[in-house]
Amino acid sequence: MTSTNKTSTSPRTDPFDVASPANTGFVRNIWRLRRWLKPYRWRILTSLVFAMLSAAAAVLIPVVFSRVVVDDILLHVSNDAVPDLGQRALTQWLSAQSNIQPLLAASAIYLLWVVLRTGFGYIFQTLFASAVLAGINNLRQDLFAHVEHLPAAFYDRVKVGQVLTRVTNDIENLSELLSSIGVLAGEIIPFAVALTVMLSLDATLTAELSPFLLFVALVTVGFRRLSGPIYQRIRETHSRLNEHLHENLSGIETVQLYQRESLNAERFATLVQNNRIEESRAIRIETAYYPIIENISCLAVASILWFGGQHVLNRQTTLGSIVLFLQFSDMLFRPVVMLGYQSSIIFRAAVACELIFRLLDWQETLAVPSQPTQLPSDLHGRIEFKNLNFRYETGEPIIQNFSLTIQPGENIAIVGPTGSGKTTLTRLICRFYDVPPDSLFIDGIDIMDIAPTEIRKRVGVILQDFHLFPGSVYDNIALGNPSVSRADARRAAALVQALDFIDALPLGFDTVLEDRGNNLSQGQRQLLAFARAIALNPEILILDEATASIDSNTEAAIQSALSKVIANRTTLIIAHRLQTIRDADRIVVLEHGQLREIGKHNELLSRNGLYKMLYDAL
Amino acid sequence: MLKRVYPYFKPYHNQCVLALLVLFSVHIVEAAIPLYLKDGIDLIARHDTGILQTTAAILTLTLLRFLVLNYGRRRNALVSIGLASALRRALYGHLLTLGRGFYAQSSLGDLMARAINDIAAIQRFFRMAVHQLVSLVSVALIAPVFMAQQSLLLTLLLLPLLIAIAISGGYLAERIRRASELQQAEYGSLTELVQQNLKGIRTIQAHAQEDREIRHFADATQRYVAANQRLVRMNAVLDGAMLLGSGLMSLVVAGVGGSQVLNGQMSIGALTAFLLYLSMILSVIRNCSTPVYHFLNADTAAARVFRVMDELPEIQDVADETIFPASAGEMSVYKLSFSYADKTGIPLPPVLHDISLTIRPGELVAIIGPIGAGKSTLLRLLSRQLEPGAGKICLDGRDLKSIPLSHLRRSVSFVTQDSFLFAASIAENIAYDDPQRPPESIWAAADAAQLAETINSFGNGLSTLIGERGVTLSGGQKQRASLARSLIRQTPILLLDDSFSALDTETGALILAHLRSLRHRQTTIMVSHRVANARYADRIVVLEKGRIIETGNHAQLLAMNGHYADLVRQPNQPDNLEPAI
Repeated sequence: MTSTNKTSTSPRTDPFDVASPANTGFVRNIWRLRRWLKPYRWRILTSLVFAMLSAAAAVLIPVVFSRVVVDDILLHVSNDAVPDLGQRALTQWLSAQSNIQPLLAASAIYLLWVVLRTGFGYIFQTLFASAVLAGINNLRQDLFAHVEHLPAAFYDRVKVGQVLTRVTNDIENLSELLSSIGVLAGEIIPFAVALTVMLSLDATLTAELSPFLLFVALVTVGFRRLSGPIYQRIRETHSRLNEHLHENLSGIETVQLYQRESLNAERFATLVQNNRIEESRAIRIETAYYPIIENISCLAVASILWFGGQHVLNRQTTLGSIVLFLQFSDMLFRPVVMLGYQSSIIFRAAVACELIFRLLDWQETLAVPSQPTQLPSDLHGRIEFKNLNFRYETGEPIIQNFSLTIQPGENIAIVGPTGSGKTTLTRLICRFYDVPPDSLFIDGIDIMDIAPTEIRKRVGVILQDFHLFPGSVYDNIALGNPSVSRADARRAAALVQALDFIDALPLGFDTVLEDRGNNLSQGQRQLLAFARAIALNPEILILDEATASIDSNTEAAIQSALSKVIANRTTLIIAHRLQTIRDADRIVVLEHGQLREIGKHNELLSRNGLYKMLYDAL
Repeated sequence: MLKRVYPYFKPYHNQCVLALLVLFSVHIVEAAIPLYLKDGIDLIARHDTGILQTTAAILTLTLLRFLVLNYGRRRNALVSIGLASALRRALYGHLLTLGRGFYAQSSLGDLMARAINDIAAIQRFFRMAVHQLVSLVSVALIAPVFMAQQSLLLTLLLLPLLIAIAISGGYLAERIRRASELQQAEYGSLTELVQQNLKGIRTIQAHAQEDREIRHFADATQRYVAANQRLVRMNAVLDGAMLLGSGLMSLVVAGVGGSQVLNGQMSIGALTAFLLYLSMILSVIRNCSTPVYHFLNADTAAARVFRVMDELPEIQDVADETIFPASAGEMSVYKLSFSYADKTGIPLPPVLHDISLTIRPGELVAIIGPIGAGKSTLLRLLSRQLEPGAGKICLDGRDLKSIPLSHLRRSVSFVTQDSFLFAASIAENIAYDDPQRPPESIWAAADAAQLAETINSFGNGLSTLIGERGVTLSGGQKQRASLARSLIRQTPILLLDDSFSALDTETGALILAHLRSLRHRQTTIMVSHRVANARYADRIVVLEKGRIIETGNHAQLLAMNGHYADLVRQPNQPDNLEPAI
């Protein structure tokens, strides 16, 4: 996946484009994961060694029981031609060394293998999982860091929910995939060891059992084939249910006012019924498949008894072998069943993996100058627009041929109908987008020659949907900037008249904002955003006035805070309140991205133009 | 709380009992298999040739076990899905009757969770837990009996070990459940964190706070990883405990049973059968705590579902079968007062005080006033979405409380402020109250709402889908569509709650002018923030702080030189200018 940098002419595909399916190769994607797992490679390798050790011990347990206990000790039919993996010799040695009965010695060895199997298995599971969790977590952090730096243009196009899904849900699916590989390793290694042992003990009997393996595999594949589309339909009917609920509960007022209750109840009943039909189909298949799988071991018992019995009668094998095979049969069939079970996880993870990498590979940045010009330490705050033209990537021109010089310390109010380009204008100064060269200057420096982060550190911004960060009130004003001392924060809060309410909080400036400021009122949050914007005493302030209705006391507080904040500062305000507009040095009237009128309130009113019209419509 | 599910479960009662009996019998069939295995092994040990019968017997039992399992589980699962469907329909039906107060206090996500996840938890209980419980009980009852038949001594020796394994397994499973809850909670807070972060990404970037947020995220993920690792460890401990337990038990079988075989007290076949019984018991012990877990989940879920089912509709409909004639369109309000209640039910300061007003049939009345004056509340009271605190409201002289809601809803149409539209075709949205309406009347309504041109500009005309899977309408287009949805009903009374706010002044005026001729002799009551719109009205009611301070037509009110005149001449109401400016 590659992307073109800063194209603003042709519409681009997105990492969320569903039109291009996820098919760049599962194996290649998994292989790419090694970068994040690499720091943990020794942990993974060690864990696999323990998985093998555990599997070996697991295989030895039934060997001791059948070969040593049953054949040798109980039946005295031990036959040197039948391999026992040295367990008989070990038992005899232990029995001779410590002078105990062979049965006791065999029990001790049995116990040893049980303990080792359990211990090694524990080490394998925890070690493997910790490596996978840590590795995937690194990927998650890298992905988050990546999306955090994607420019505003990206977030204009995509839905937040989709990005969220990548960082949480899809990463989770991937982590599940790696864990399930671990589970499979835990099943397949004993399977391979058991199969080898069975082949070496009694190749004929093993061969006679292999049709069962095939049968299980076929039934499992058949089940996946049949159930896959049904599960898909269940998910669909389920999301129909969800959608219906979501929509009709959101619009419950309309539903009730228009007397749609009974019709809706009918429709919902149909949706429920559709879901039920699909669920019932799945149930019919599931209740056929799982009992087959659970009965495989019974079938195996019958066939081991039958075939094994013949072999014993022909003196080809011993009774111990039959007992051994009975104990192994479970080990033999489980991996196939597990493989079927894990296949849906693997499929889901393959898609998730593809989507994650697509987002991670998405390169989109602002045009950062290679040798950025530093803004002077004492900024005057002059802003110049020179014939600025701007459009969003796919849209119509938003700003057309816009020229305006804002003098240092001037207060500008921007008004205009919805969609006239007010917000865009302020975003351009914040350098959220690239603009054509020589069209926007701060203190005479082309904005494209300044590093975006530099601008954002020097320009104070208060957006309409301001965002409070987790942390204390002080953290939210200082934003981690060491040059904002507590005294500075206090001064800023006092200036915007937020001191009273902050001091009234349980811990004052150290009060931690619950849930991003949910313990504050809307007005208080706004005052906090003001304090934050001026804590660094920026020379330029951009403000998108909130339109949300607030009570008149807060309204008055905010208005008076505003007048203090904008004094002696270059300010650009998208104004929604009459008072703000009247107080401005100049009012810029925008329409369709063009400057229509400019001047003071009274001048504009007397001009009888667009401003007058907007004003009269009140 | 789970017992309250019973009325919904009742139709399935017999089916469920049958399914469980069948599932119980599975374990009797199952317990017979080791007996035949024992015979087979002993026959082989004696080099006897009669293993055909035992093999055939095991095969038959296997087939029987399959059939019984298949039937029992299918019945049981079908019962659970039927029950869930019935519960969902009932809950949704009830939700449709609940009113504003309820929805104001509940979050949509929470209600959805109750209708979907909580009912799924109840379903899981009936499907999984009941079945597992039956298995657990039947194996615990059946297996020891069969074991004791083979060797009483061995059974008695193993019993304490089994109980110890069951107890430690249950204990560990409980710890795992808690660890998994913790892990889920960490996942939830991680998701919340990312969501909040992405929502505020512009502010974060505007303040160059990306790195700080990344560090913060890393901390949260570390906590999540730690919770995950704890869960993995607990699971590994449970696995280990079960392995060790089964190993120890087979050790006892091998050691003690082996010496019994040596003494001739037990056959090799019996020893092998014993091992099979053990694995049967172990397989149910492993899951012994899941029924409890499912039960607890389902019980909590049922409590949440029935808390909604117990909510009484705020508006009590009257059971009146009288067929009312079409309303004349007269609405009157006598000494009406109203106050909302806060979340704990304590009344807030009144929104409306002692309002009296009579609106004559065919009148166009405008209600104006600042935000918070009580305008929308008054409309909601008129449409009986709220009940008066004091005083009464009458339609054609009859108290609203004595009129069936269906008659009221047929007589009064309300265009709400938020113009909520559905993700369906334009036609379906406009003919929302009755999908059978002919296209002509849909077009007529669209025309009246100045929407016809917009619809024509869409490729598919009336069948254009709007919303998530279709075209996105602008605020003004939405408002006009919701207006058309009301106009099509031609109700004797139309309530407009600031329905022109997203339209430019000209379009608003155009619609209003048409409205007059379209709805002649029909009553219209409109709330407006724009003083300009009010001048079209027959009568203007100025509301402030919940009281009527002036009434009269435009000219009269101007002449009165009061509040309205002030508003007209010097519009400095502390209203926001959006979207006009």
